Amino acid sequence: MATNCYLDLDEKGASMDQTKFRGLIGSLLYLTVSRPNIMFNVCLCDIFQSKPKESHFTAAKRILKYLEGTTTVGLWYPADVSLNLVGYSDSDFAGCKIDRKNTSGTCHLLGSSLVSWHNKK
Amino acid sequence: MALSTAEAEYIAVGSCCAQTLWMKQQLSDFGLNLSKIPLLCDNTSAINLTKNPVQHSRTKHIEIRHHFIRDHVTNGDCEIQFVSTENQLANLFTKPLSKERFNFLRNELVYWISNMCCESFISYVLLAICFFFFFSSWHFTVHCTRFNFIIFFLDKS
Repeated sequence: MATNCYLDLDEKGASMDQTKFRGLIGSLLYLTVSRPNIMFNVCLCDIFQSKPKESHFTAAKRILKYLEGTTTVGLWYPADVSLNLVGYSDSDFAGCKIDRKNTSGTCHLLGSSLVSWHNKK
Repeated sequence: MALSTAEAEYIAVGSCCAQTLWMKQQLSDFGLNLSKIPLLCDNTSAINLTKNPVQHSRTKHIEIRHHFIRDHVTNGDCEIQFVSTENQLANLFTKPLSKERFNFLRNELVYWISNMCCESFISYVLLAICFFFFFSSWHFTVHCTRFNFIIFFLDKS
């Protein structure tokens, strides 16, 4: 997603089928269990589930295009690593353009592999 | 809602700590006892808040539940360390990033499966040679079905 991406409620935009949008978001949320790299974008799109517009659907389809191009990327857990736990935490102050709420994100690495991640507005 | 970046980071560290404690408990069940787990944060003000409860205009109103982290730092469960923003891996989960930055963070967190295949390529070749020698000791019969599928089966006679 581009750094200047601006997703808002888009009141005047053409509305679209809610069931279709929810189905897509549901599948993508399920996929974030094994694909941490799309976590932020999926969480950004899923706040528009109640009144989805065409612009939100375009943003969600962009994630699908990204996934198509990165089928060879995955999590990898090697056997011979030292088991030390490290946590990373970061936040984006007033990151959401709609209600100016913060976004906090954390991830945990056991050895050198990612074991837990979290994103919350 | 937070009123400053330090407070926002402080809350994020708190939620990171909660998850860390759960994982620590889980690992102690497997016989791995960890203490002073490093939590990496890129805001020095937030780090200082966990060590020293200073009260000034921006930190007076922080909700009491967010001071959960300070308790655990005093007990020695976790330890807050500074990391520069360039090496902050959790950046991937909070904001839209440029392509270069995104790819850098992604390659730190996840691995290319194709790389993994290259490493074990030699073992696959060895396995294939073993299979070849094993099967060449048997008679092969090629049987073509009307769907043009070729099925190999072993003729034990």
